Amino acid sequence: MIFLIFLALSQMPDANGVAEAEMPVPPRPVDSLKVNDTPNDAGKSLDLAWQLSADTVRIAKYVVLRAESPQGPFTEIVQLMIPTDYYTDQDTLLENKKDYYYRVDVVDTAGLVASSEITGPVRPMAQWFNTARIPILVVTVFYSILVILYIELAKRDTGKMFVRRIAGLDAIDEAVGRSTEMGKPILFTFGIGYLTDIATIAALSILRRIAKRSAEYETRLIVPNYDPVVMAAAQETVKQGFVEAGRPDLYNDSDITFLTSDQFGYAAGVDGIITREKPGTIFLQGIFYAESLILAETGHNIGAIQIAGTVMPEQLPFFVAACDYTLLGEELFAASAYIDRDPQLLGSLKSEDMVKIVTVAIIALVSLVGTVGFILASYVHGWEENIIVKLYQIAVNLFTSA
Amino acid sequence: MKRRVPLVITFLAGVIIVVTFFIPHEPFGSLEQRLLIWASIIGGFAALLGIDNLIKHHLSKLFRRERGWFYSLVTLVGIFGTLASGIVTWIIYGTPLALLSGLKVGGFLWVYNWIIVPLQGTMFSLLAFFIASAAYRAFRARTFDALLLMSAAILVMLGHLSIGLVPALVGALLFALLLVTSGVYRLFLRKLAAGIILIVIGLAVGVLAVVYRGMMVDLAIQVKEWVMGFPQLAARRGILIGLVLGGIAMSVRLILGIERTYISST
Repeated sequence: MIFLIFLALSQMPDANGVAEAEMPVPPRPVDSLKVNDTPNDAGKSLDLAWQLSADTVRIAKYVVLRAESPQGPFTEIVQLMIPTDYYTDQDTLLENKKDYYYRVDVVDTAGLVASSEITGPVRPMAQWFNTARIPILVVTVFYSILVILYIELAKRDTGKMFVRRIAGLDAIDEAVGRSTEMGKPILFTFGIGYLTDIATIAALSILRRIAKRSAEYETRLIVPNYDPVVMAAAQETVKQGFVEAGRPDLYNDSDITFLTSDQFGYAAGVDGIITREKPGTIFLQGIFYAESLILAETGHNIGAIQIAGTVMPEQLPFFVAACDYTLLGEELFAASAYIDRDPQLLGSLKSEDMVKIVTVAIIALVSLVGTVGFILASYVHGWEENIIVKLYQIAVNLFTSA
Repeated sequence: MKRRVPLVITFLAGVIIVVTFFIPHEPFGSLEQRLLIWASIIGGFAALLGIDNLIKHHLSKLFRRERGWFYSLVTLVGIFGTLASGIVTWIIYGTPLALLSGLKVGGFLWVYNWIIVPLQGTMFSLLAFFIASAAYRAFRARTFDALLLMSAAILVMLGHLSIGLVPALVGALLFALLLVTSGVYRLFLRKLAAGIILIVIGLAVGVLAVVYRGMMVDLAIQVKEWVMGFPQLAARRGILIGLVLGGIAMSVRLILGIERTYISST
């Protein structure tokens, strides 16, 4: 009997055991919470970093909380739903030079919460110098000094500066002449750039040369514009070219007009002008996007000689395919120096070449160092962390930190 | 004076922007953004200049009955019609951008949705035909460079197409045939070196396509990624480095007042 009672008792569920088995265990909190001022910024920003909870798989979210005193109250500032071990607090309510305290809570799928230790005080601060941009500063200063140096050299040794031929710029006079012979107008478009784009400013110098030649040859010059500010600049530039040619009387304001600030509306407008006026020469100089080929192919279809130039690498193949001459990227920037042959401008071109040589040398050197370091680290025992690999990493960090 | 003032403004604006790039602390940190806002405001007022120019130009053409005056009429109807639809919508609904339910929209948005957007789409779609005609000209393998261009284009296109094994194999064999034919044509032109190189490459491509026919689809993708990741990227980066350096040199010239072609001297 006693045995049966004990057997029955042993089969009964143990109340304490059930409680132990079903007792919800809270997740382990995040560890090593660190809060620092965000470097190289204007303040009002703090960087938080922590080690993920050891129970990552059952964590539903990480909650970042902030307070102005260690006692609280803590305000929730963000809920991170995926395992994340960092957060940058850029709340607009943050004030520079004020103390803040942080805590990170983890909430598991059952809704149980575990809080990290409170970290603080930390103060967001604004910096007076962005140290991450020191390499850029060094390169900028070096390049600027080189530009000024070569300009001075060019002033002394006028005529000694060699500049390679740029077919697209050499062809300007020929193209204007051809249009004149055919009795057809010339069309110039800046694309859809603004006056804040350097390419548009570079294109203005080409326009000035074209305006001067077209005034000399008494050929009509049409410049439809996408931006009213560019239109005003184009009017001034063309007027200047006509004055330089001694023919201000030929200048016609209504040939340099505003079309529209809509990309494809502009393309349609210029296509319409090309189809109706049938210009003998078309210049496409400046900033172009998807409309590049629409314009260039329409020009090609009417048999115009086309000289294009843009700084948009994606559009260059279209221009190369559809135009007679194409100024590739930097050639557009070199236009004013090439056309005017001003020693100061030519000097700046030379400095550009020098910096290009230095840049290519640095790229080659860093590539070589990286390759050699990688080979040594991969195949030579004991060279896993060699000085060459470290040098390569330093170089890469230097040029990518900003 | 007329030249000096813009040069001084350019110098000051350029130097300030360069300096603020290295100083995050206020008020310098946000100065560039502030100047851009100023530029946007000026741009907004300049829009009036553009509209004024547009209306004057087309009214003049219309009244003088110049050639193409009808297009000027269409333009003016478009300008004033859109403006009128905006004003009417504004008066009725309190905003020119009024949205009603479903396909019913306020007058201004109706013009935008059913006239402007389809016209933009039409112009954009023209690009497909222009690309085809430009590609036809560019890929005519008259010179060795054009042949290289065409080969790269074919390889990239094959890699981008989601085609099956047989089309990929047929594409590769056609490409091999094209190279061999081109090589034979060059032999006829007595360009021995180019001809032999093309024939050898063509035969190699053909043999590889047959031997590794089971891997053609994967191979096409890998070849495409190689072309895009190495030769294409190298050329692109070369252009970009030149562009950046050219841009900096141009900026220095502008800031120092050496580049003055954008300023009128009259």
